[in-house]
Amino acid sequence: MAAVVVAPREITDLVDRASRVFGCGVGAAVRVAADVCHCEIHHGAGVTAWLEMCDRGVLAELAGAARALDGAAIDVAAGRSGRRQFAAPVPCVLLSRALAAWAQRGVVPVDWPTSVRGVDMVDSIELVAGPTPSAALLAAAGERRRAALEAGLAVDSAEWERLEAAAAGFLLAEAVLDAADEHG
Amino acid sequence: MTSMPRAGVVTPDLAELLASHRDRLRPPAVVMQPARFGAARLTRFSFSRSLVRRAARDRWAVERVRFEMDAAGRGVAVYRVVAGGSVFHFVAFTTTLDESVHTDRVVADAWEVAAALVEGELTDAFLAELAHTVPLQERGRLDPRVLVLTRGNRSVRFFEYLVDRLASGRQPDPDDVGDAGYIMRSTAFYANGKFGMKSFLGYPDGHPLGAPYRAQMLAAWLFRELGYDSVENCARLRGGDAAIGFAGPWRQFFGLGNATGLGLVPYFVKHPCVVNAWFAVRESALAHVRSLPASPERLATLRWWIDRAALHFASGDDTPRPPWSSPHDLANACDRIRAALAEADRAPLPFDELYRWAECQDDETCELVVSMLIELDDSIDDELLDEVLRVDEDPGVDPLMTIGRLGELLTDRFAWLDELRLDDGRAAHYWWVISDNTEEPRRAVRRAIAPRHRAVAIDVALRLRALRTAVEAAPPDTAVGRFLADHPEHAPAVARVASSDLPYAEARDNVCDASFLPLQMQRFQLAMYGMDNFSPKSTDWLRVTLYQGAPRVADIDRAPGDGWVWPPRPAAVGEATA
Repeated sequence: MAAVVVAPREITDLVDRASRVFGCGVGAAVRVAADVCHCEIHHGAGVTAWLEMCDRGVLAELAGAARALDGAAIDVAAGRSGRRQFAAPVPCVLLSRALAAWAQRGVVPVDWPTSVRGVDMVDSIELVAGPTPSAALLAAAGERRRAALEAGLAVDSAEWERLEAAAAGFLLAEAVLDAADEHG
Repeated sequence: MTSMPRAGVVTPDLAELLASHRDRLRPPAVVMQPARFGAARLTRFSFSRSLVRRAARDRWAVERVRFEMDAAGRGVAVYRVVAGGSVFHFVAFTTTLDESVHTDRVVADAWEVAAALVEGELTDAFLAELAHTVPLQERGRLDPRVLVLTRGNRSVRFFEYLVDRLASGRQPDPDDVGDAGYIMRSTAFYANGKFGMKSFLGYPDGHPLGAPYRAQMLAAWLFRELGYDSVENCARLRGGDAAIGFAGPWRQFFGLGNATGLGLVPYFVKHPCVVNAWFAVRESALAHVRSLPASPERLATLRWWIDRAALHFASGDDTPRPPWSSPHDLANACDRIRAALAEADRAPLPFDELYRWAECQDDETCELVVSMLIELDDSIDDELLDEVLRVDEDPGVDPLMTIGRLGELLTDRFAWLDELRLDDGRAAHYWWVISDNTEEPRRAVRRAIAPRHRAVAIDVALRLRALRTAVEAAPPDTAVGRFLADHPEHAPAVARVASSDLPYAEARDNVCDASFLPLQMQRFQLAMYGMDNFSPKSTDWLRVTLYQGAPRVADIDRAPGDGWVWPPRPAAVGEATA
């Protein structure tokens, strides 16, 4: 694939804006943007998965469904069962960041693959109390993040162009703003 | 399972600094008032000043390694910097534009100067790449070798005047220079991952530009040097043997101009942890100085700064600067400050006495005193300064916190929202948007244009009020994580509450209110960068000057300290030769 090297913040900024265009509110868009960036750094295919959701017109719906994971994790923290069946399969891109955060609180998924990509789909999830990540795992994650910040991330050029085009819908035409200013 | 401790939003040193001066810190209710922080001036913590001190202390070597310009000033210039074992290059491509094309706005199609600061050796191939992409500015695509992208224009009024003077063997006439504190004027210093550049957090530990804004400040310092070199080069090519270089105080009088628009407002609002650190170092230092007893050295230093400021403001032009004081009003304020110090200097704590006098004066006088008092601070050295200004910007929301606790925090820490008249129809007069023209932030009147999906979420005060209403309606034992799963629209406001243990994170202001004045947030940030000579051109943008009086790159090894700040306009000199 032809690739373009981008900074992590560029992914966050563009996905945030573009997610607003595709129906997410402010809070949901911020979360989706952080999810996609995290996924690109640690798992790959975050932007690919985001584009697929947009193509299917289900971004806002699946972003809402993915938030059920937090409810499950809170149930586990309160000593209850933490299983959730999603109404429709949710891509890992919307789950992996939250899972990593909950793992640091000792809430972990059952039977979760050791390696996932953003486009992998999940029908249901079961969370349980478990060990927090080892120091070696945390160090490896920190190194991936450091490397991404230092050298950028390679993203498919065609996908990046699509993301840029989608994010452009967040902007307002200068002419419209100037005309409104002129008319007080 | 236990709640994880919050990420280290306040570094231990910053927290310790604030705690050690707890009794004398100015309260956020005073400091975070827009009129007060909107009167801020540069201090020894300003980024331009810490850059100069760092460059001098660490003996950075700066060399102009390429300068191919014609008599009109069109060509390429390259400056090589060796700093702390690392190599950087400031690469500038220059041209000339018709005066009618010049603009102060961030938005423009063409610039007379397009430049970049890059890390590492500069090969011919890389230079060729930069020659293609840097003039494109926002339309170009860069890579992590590039740290800063900038651009600007010559001062329409003064560039040719200065060339003519030097070409004919004369220094500038002070009466002709007027308020011109600069030769070239920049409009943006993009960095930190924009357009593919290196992310700030990607700088390794110990990197010489690893302090916030240090890369941008280095680029700005070299941009200013380019202005000087361009004038002298044009003069030499046009004047031949008759030409001279800048001499005496003119060698470093001119700074770099800058025009700043609304983009600083979203930055101020979106980065509460950064803003807190900026305020905290100033307030901690002020509190420390107020606790100091008099000494002949401290009193002499403070008197030197008062005299320096008085001369600087008195020797400049006196154009009105509404809503702020004119330079001559500031010079008069310096006279009053000098008199107040004479009254206070026998008190047990004279600097505290002077501050107490100042807080009864107008905001500009008070903050001028604050800046000068901070010059006496000896509690925060440059190492500590760099350290405490690097902050973790992700405070993290504890999803297990209860709504009841969230409500308590809102009540305890955001009572000031009630002073903003958020129920007034004018409170949501504006919404913030990004223009499609180089992505410049703008504000739009809500009744003229509907936001739809385009609102930039910096309406913090309005969001906090909405959160407060939602929290009152929610069961108090609900976990915040569950609440946000059902109400994701409140996530930005909940994040503000999560960082609300930072005392100086929130301006007591509503950026959507009809009466909101952007200049105040802009000025505080510009002062933190080290800019001065604040000249508002509307409620939304202003001109400033950076590095006026600063050492030239060739003089940096003479350990100049901070004595270059606030230079007086040079007196007329004879037909001096360089």
